[in-house]
Amino acid sequence: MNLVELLDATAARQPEHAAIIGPADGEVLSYAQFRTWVDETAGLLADHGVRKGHCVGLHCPSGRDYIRLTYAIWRLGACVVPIPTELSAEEKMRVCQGIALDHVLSDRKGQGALSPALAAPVQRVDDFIGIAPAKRYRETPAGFAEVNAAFIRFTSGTTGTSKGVVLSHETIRDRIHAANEALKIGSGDKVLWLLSMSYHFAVSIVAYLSFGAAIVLARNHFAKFLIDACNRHGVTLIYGAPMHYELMAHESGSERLPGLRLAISTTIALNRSTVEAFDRRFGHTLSQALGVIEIGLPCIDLYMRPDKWGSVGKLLPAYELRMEDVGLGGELRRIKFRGQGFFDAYYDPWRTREEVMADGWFDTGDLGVLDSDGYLFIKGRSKDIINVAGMKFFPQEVEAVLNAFPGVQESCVFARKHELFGEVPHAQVVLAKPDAVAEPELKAFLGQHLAPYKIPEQIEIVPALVRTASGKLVRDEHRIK
Amino acid sequence: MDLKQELLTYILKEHLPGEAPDSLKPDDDLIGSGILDSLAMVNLVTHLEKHYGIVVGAEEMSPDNFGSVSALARFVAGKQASA
Repeated sequence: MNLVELLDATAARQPEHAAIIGPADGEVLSYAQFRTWVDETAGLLADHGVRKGHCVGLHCPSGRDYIRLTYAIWRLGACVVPIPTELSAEEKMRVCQGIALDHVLSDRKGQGALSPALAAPVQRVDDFIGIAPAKRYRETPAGFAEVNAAFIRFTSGTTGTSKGVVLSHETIRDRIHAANEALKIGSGDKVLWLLSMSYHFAVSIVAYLSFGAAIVLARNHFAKFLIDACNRHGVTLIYGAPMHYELMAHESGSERLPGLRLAISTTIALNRSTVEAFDRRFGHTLSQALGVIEIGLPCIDLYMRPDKWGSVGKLLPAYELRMEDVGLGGELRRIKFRGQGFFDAYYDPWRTREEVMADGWFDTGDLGVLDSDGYLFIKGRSKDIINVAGMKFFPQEVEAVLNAFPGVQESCVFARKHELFGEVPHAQVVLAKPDAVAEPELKAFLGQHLAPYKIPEQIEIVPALVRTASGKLVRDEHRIK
Repeated sequence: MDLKQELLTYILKEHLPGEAPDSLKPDDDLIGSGILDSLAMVNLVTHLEKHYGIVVGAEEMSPDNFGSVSALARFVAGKQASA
């Protein structure tokens, strides 16, 4: 099974229907045109040596090209490994070193940062992209060939102990069908796309193209332009982060969104103030989806009920939920899921789904409460992820860079609430001796090693870090101050 | 370095890496050119808040304030003056 077959089926069913609209005025690709473009691109990539079973690092900004390159790689039976353009050069290198890549495909602008990972000079594929064989830093895991892999997302995963989540074509197919039982996306839908395609593609772009919807790409993400794009193209569904809805809710004009059917927020919990402001401005209730990389979208709250505020919604029919009593008292339980479309393996160390889910359930590590109406409330997480407008990272990654700076003895990075982005990182640092570090130099050092959103908004010099009785760092901002 | 030049240098480095220093002028359109996509906006606003000690509200993230480096410099200076 290959996800390209779902695109082929849509293109055969509705060849003249718009597949991708924008970002420039008047730019429309029909399904037939898009499929032809994918096939032409696949032909070019084959000429440059891309073969079935290869892993291809894809470094490209979100947009039409990202979509056609992904499908072209799949057409050849190869696997896509996103290298997000928003990462720092060092972080991009970690992706290239962590996954055994055969090729790196990059837009021409971004090739410089990847050059240390290339085994030969870049060859031009077309006006937009170049390709080069990748240096091999590691062996492919023994079990990889047995998975019909579509994607490897280089992430620490939900549990934080493994690198790389492997998703097969079959898994993604099952996921989009599971989600569509609630979303009911069809050929009448036009979806305004606002997220990074390196992080969001499977249960979104693939779903839209498999179910025959049109994807509307915005030229930029200023509220005025988003509202204009919605009304000009007759957008029925928006898929964005809380930040986009917050911006739209506070746009100074008075245009409504009459064609809107669903406005789905993902990546981080919505603030009540954002939901209320969006409702006041547009007369539309936002929806919220819980996305977990290993699982898909197990819970969706389509129409947020005021009496269920703070819930991530109800379980979709394709999933089962187990609230495991781990002795925390009250109704607080550990959240586990099982169902269709779960991840296939962790890449490093290689662990199959069956090994990870030995009891048949995936342990999210989150704690929560399930109410009598079936609404799930997440009350805490047993991990320390920081989420800046939907971009997630572990504080330990930032601490490792801080601790490597001469004069820094130790550090602690934790999330602070931010009105627009949900969370931003904040750091406390203990110096080896007073005045050992100048803050501008330290920030410049962080800038060399980390993507901008991971750099702490403030670096506080403190005499000692806050620790638990057992010596673990406390990363809860309310317990630190 | 004045504020406008600082912002110009920052945007060139972060959002147009590898481009020649004269490829971005203070009055160039940052919106039509596609330089400020969603993630670029997050990075730019977090940079402004960290570096200049200002807080950017949702209603202030408009083309009037972010449309060019000159507009951005006026916006940041105004926020600092009213802080």
